[in-house]
Amino acid sequence: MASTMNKAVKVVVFAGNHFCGPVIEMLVQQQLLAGVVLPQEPNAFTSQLAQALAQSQLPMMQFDPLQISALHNTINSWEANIGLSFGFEGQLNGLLAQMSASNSVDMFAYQTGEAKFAGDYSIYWQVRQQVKATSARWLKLTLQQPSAVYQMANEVDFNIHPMDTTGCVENALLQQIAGFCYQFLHLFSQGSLDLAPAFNQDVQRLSLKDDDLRVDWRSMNGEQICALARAGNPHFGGCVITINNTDINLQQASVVDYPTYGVDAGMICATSESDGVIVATLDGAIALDILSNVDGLFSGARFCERFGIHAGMAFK
Amino acid sequence: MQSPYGNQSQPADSAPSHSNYAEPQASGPSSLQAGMLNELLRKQLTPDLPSTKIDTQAVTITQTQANNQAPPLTQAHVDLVEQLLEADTFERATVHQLLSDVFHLQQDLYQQLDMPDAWRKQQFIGPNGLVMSPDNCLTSMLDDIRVRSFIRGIDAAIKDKVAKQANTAQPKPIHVVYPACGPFAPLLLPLLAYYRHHSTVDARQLQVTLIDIQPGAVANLAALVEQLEIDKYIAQINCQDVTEYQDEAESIDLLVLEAMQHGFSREGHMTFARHLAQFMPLSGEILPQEITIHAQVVDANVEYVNQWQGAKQVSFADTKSDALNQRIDLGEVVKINAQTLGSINQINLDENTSLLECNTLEIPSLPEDHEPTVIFTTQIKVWGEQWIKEYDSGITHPLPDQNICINFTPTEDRPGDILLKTGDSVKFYYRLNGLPGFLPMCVDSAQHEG
Repeated sequence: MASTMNKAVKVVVFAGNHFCGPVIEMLVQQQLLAGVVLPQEPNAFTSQLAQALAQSQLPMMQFDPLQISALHNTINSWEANIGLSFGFEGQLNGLLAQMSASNSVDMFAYQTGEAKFAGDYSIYWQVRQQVKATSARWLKLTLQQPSAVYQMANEVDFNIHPMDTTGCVENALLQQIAGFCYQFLHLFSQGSLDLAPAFNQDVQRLSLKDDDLRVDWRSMNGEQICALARAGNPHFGGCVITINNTDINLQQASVVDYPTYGVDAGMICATSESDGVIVATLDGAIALDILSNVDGLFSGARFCERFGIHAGMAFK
Repeated sequence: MQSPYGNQSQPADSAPSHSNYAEPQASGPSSLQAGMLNELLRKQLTPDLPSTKIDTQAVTITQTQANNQAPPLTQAHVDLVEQLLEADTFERATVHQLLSDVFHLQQDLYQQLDMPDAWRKQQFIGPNGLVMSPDNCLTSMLDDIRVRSFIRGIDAAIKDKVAKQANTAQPKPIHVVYPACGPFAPLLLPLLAYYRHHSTVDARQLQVTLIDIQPGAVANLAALVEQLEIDKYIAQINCQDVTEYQDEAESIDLLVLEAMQHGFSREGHMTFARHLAQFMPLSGEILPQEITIHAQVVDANVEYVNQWQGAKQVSFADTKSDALNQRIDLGEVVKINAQTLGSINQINLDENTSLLECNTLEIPSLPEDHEPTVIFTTQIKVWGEQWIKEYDSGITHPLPDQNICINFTPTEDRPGDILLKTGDSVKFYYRLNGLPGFLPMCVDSAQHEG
């Protein structure tokens, strides 16, 4: 892909999550990468990224909220004129203030889904809430105290299949993100970005706590439990169900048509090779297709046989 | 050689349905080795399969053994019943050893049977309760006091009926029906082996129908009957839901039924008894003759922990008087016998939910030194003097109901909790569907329900 930019574009990437990986690769190939800012707290992805950048002798710097001026100076020294944020939103107000004063860098953030899903677990929550389609967009970050304001810049849509896991959606987005980014930079270089008003000024970034991964048989229906398992697959081992005070990871579940004869939600209605393991829910029944624990992954039927779980026992 | 049940058997992996096997036929010594037996079973269960040639030499060897001495499986059954019926005293260790011998031989037979894994392992909640997998029924033979009481009781009942028949102008065989009998029919088949061995009661006097919904159980029953050479006693082995059994001739003289877990819960005993009772003549009898369930208030620590510290075994005879004395009896929740089966009132809430009305009990004053726990205790009068009392068996182990909270409020909100206090009246219902069990309701005020 030969660069078709109308003006010099130098991109600084704020690498907070793994969506920046293909983008950095593309920017290196196109010689558009000014440098990479890594988060203050490293994670598995950013540690690996730092190693790769060091090996390639590409410019990088670790983010330090107490050293914003130094960061600003470094970015200026890289001659960056556009910044792309991946999971850094919320930490950039200080930097935005300095950038605004010098009018040196336009900052954009990559985001998927509606504003209510903003945050590091955006795709998880979209899958969990059974959203049928998501969108990817670049949001312009401008300073408006006390927080940044998002503005819609460029958007593409993706359908989410009812069987998609979070991993499926992420991978679909990852496959397209480099091309999406290149198109965006091309429009930017032409000065023809079509900015629209942001859809929500008060974005709450969704978090994810351990208890969020746990199935509540008393409040969740079958579809919700299946979506909970899909959303946590593969990053969190699906969701968590408990029997005899032991936690088990439910990686995949399916709503099934099975008579439950009025037993409580969470009660195991059947265990067999043909049916697997069927559990009553508030609105019917689900099959626990794939379960896992420290010993590995098992089909429902094999898990039950191996660990002595039978119809008549109940998940709490 | 043909299977005595050969031509009318039921594909056992189909939906439960009525499946009458052929009337028992006379057959020669038929103690088959497991491989040949498997072929017979395959033929029974899939009638379209071509018949398989049987190794007659192998059969001859087995026949020779049979002429000299009963095969080990038969002998173990006979030894067991001899001990149960003829010993002057109940030597529990001896009985348990004999039961273990039978259990291991039965287990060998079961494991060698060539049948799909699914038949062995499938367990499910049906419309009338939990249906155990054949795999999970294997150890019921080891419940010593239960097996002893039933075998002694059934023997007495059969002999009583046979004697009465003998005094009639045209004696006919008494018909015993044993539904939900599992893969070994442990309360009856040992007795049939004993009758055959000692010629105590013959097949002209006694005919048995065995019923189980699990195809794996039926396959094993057929094999066990064959091995024990008691096929002449067997009228039918039906693979069906017990509630689908029909008998227009009302021919059930004795109904042997044990389909419950502790606290008279989880399995379909009540539904089965009520269904089959309609096919019994006035002279018909049900074993157990009477099941009585009481609700009692206990200190759970004393009841379940303290009284068993240092105990070598668990039975009613081993309960401590201190523990029994600390109990406060709320009263009889229900008594199940031939009379009450027909008179107990049924309430149908919807097509899948039916309740039986049981007794109403009053909560008395209770000591305040501990959170009281309500338990359901079960006493079973099998027949005459044969009883299964609390703690004698898995089925009479007192069942705590943690949802009944008397004079205290639980620290966490739990589904199904009912909050009661001294002076309240509690009406008990018996839930017939899903997992059967008792459902307490505060009579005075619905607001007590948590």
